[in-house]
Amino acid sequence: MSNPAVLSACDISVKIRGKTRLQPLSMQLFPGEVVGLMGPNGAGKTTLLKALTGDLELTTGDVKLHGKALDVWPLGDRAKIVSVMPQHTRLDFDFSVAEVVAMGRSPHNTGNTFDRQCIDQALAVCGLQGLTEQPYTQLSGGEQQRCHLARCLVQIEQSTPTLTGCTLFLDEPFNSIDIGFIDAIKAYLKRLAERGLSIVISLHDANMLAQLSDRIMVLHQGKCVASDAPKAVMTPALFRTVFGVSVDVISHPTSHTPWAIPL
Amino acid sequence: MWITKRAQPLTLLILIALLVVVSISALLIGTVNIPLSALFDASDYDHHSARFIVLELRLPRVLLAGLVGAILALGGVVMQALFRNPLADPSLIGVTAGASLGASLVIVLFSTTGIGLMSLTAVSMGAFSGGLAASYFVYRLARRGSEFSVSTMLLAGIAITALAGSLGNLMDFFADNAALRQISLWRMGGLDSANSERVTVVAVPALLLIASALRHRDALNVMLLGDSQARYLGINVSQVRNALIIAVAIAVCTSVAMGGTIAFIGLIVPHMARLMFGPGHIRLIPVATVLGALLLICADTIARTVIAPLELPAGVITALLGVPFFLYLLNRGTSHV
Amino acid sequence: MRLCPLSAARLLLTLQLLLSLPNALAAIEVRDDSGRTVRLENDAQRIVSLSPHITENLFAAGLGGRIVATVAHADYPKEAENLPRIGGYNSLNLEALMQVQADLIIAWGSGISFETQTKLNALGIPIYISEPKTLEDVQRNLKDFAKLGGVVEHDSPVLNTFERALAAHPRRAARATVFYQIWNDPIQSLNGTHIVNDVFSRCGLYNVFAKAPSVAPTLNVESIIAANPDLIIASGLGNERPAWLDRWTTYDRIRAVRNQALHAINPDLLQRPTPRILDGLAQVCHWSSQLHDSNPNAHSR
Repeated sequence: MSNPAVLSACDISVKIRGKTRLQPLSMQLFPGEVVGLMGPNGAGKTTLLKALTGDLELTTGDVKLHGKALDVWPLGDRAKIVSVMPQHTRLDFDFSVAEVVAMGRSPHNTGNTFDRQCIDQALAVCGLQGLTEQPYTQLSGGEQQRCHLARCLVQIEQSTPTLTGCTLFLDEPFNSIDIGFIDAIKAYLKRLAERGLSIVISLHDANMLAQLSDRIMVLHQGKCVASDAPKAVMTPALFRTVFGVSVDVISHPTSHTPWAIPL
Repeated sequence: MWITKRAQPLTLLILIALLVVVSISALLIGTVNIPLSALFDASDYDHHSARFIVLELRLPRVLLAGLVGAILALGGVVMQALFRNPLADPSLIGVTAGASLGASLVIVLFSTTGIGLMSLTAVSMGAFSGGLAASYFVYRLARRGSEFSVSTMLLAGIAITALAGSLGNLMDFFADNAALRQISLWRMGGLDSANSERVTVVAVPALLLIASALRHRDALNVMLLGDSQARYLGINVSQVRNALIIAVAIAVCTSVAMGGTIAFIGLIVPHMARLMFGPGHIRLIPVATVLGALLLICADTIARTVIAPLELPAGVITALLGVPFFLYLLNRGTSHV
Repeated sequence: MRLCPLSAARLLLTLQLLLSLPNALAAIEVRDDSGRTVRLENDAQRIVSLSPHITENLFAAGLGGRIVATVAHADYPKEAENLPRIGGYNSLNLEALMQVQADLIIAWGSGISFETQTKLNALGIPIYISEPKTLEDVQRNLKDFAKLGGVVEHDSPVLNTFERALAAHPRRAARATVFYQIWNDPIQSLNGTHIVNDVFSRCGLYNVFAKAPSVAPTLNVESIIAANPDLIIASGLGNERPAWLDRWTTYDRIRAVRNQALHAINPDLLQRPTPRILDGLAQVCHWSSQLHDSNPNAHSR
C-alpha cells in the first residue's frame, strides 16, 4: 500500500427530519486527488460535503480521517490539516480583508513570518492585494467570496513543501467571482494538488469541474449515480438523465478535457 | 476605525491614564467640599472625616461603578460576538428581568430587608438567583441536543424577559403597600450602597469575565464567521460558548444585584470601542473594559453631583448619553448594523 | 336577592326621600381641596372612598358605616379591612364603582389621574377631592365629611382633640433641622410639599431637604453629612425600628449622631393626613424638645 487514503467514508447516509438527503455511499480520497461533485440543485452535493467534514450527523456509516473516526479528532488538530469553505459565510463585523484572511492561520502556530508569507500569497492568488485594508462589510459579493477563499487557502498551507495528508473542501467556491480571477485560482489549486493536497470541490459548472478534477462524482436525488474520470462520466446520456438537458460533449481545444455544449 | 493601528497602543494607554485621572477626580468631587489640605494634613480639623468620606464613601463607590461599567461593557462585547449581532446586549439573555423578578419574589414572600451574608441582603441574593435562572432558561431553550440556535436564543430571551416582566407585575399586584414600595425602590437602587464588601463581591466575577474573555479572544474573532466555520478553524464552539455565557451571566447578575440595572452601557460601549479600534477582540476586550469603567464612573459622578445634595439615577445619565449615540448608529443604516 | 340596577336605584331613591324628607329641603354645600363646590341634595348615605386616608377620616368622622367601597391598602381602623374593594394602587374598576350605587365619591387628588377624574365626573355622582397639605386641611376634611354625611359636627371628640393639639403646637420659627428618612437603599426623604413639614414646623424643626425639586428626593450618604441635621427621623415599614437607622452611628460628624437623636416612627403616624398624625406630632415635638433640653447649643439655627 503505497498511497493510503487520506479520507474514507463507508456507507454514509444522511436523513434530516425523516427525509433522505443522502443515500448510502462509500468513497475514498487519496493524496493529490481532486474529486469534483456534480449534480443539479438539491442533488445532495452540499449534504455530502457536510457529511464528509463532520458538520452533519450521519444516519449510518462513518468517516475516517487518516484511519481515525472524524469525531474523535481534536478540533484543533483537524483544523491544521482540513480546511473547509462553505457556500455562504456571513460576517457582519468590520474586519479588514487582511484580518479575515489571517483568521485562516489561527489553528497553526508556525510563526509570524511564515504566516505573513502564506497570507500574502493567498491574497495575490485571489486578486486581493489592493484591498487588504478594506473593511470586509464594504466589499462586493464577489470580493467577499474571494476573501473567504483566500482564508481557506491560507489555512491549508503547511511549513513543509508537501501537502500530503491535507484536505481542502470547497463548496461552490467560484460563486459570483469574475472569470478573470478564476483562472489564477484554478492554476493555484492544481499546484496545491501537485504538492499532495486532496481536494473535494463542488461546482455547478460541469466543464470547469472537468478541467479541475481527477474524478467526478455525480449526485442525483441524493444518490451517487456515477464516479469516474471526467471523460467517462460526461456523456450526453448522463446529462439527459441527471439534468434533463440535451448536450453534445466535445474535447476542449487546449486542456483536452470533456466540454458539454447545450444543444 | 478612527484610530490607525499604529496609534492604537498609545490611545489605549491614554484611555487608561484618563480612567485613573477621572477616578481620582471622582474621589475629590462630591456634595461635601473636601480641600486637599484636609485630606493629607493630619493636623487639619476635618482630617478624620475628610479621609472617611473619601476612603469609605467615595472610593468604594468609584470602584463599584468602574467594575459594573466594565462588566456591562465587556458582557456586551462577548454577547455581540456570541450572537454575531452588533445589537446584542447582556440583558438579551433575560438577566435584568430575571433579577428584578427575583428581588420582587424575595420581598413579597419573605418581606425581609436586613438578613443576609455580609452585605449581600436576601433581596440581592434573590436578584442574583433570578437573573441566573432566567439566563439558564433562555440558554436551555436555545439548545436542542448539541445544536444551538442563536436566533432561538434571541427569541427565547425576549420571551423570558416578557414572562419575567409580567410575573413581576403580578407580584406588584399581590404585594402589600410596604412591599410595593420596597420593590419600586429596589428597581431604582443604585451605587450608593457601595462598600468594600460589595466591591469585593463584584470584583471576583468581573476579573473572571475579563480573564475568560481574554483567554478566548481568538475564538471570539473566529466565531463571528459562524459556528461551523469556527469548528473548521479548530474552535470547540459549544465549550467556548458555555464558558463565556456562564461568565457573562454570573458577572452581570452580580452587578445587577449590587448596583441595580444600568441601561445602555452594554450596547454603546462595545460600539464605541469597535469604531475606534476595529472588531478584533485582542484590542476590543481591554478597550471596552476601560471605556465601560470610564463611562460609568463619569455618569455616576455626574449623577451624584449635578443636583447635589440630591442624586439622579446613574442609569438616567448613561441613557442620556447612550440614546443619541444609538439613534446615530441606527441612522448610519446597514453599513454598520 | 338580585335587583335590576335601575329599579334598585329607584327603590333606594324613594327610600331616601322618605327617610330624609326634612333634610332634603336644605341642600348641603362644601368646598373641597381643589376649590370646587360639592353640592348634595341629601345626606350622603353610600360613600365611596378612593384612598386609605379618606377611609380613615370617614371612620373618624363617624361615617365608617356608610362606606360602600374603598381601595386596596385601606387598613385602618380594623373595621376598614372588611370593606369591599373596587381598586388597587394604580387601577380603579369603574364597573364595580357603578354597581355600588354611591351618592358620594371622595377621591385623593394625587391618587387619581386626570382621565379617571373625567370618567368619574361623567358618572354624575358628586365628587369631593381631598388633598390635605396641612393639619388644618385634615381638620377641615373631617368637618366637611361630617357635614356631607349630615352628622352633628359640634361636640365631636376628634375635632375637639384637633382643636386642642393645633392650639398647643402653633407653627413657629425653626430652632433645629431634621432629616426625615423614608428609605435607605437608595436613601430617600420627602421635600417641603409634604404634610410632614407642617408637623415639623409646629415642632420648631426645619426639613433639610425641604427645597428639593422632587417630592421624594433620592440622596446619598454624603448629602446627609453635608446637610448635617440635628435630628434624624426614620420611617421604615410599620412600627419596627428599621435596622438601617443605626447605620448612621458610624458618621459621628453628623450632629444628629452626636446628639443621639436617631428616632424611628411608624410612617402612618406622619405621612397619612388623618387624626393619627396628631400622635406623630406629639412624638416629633417630644423629640424636638428633648434635643433642646439635652443640649441647648446643639442647634444649627
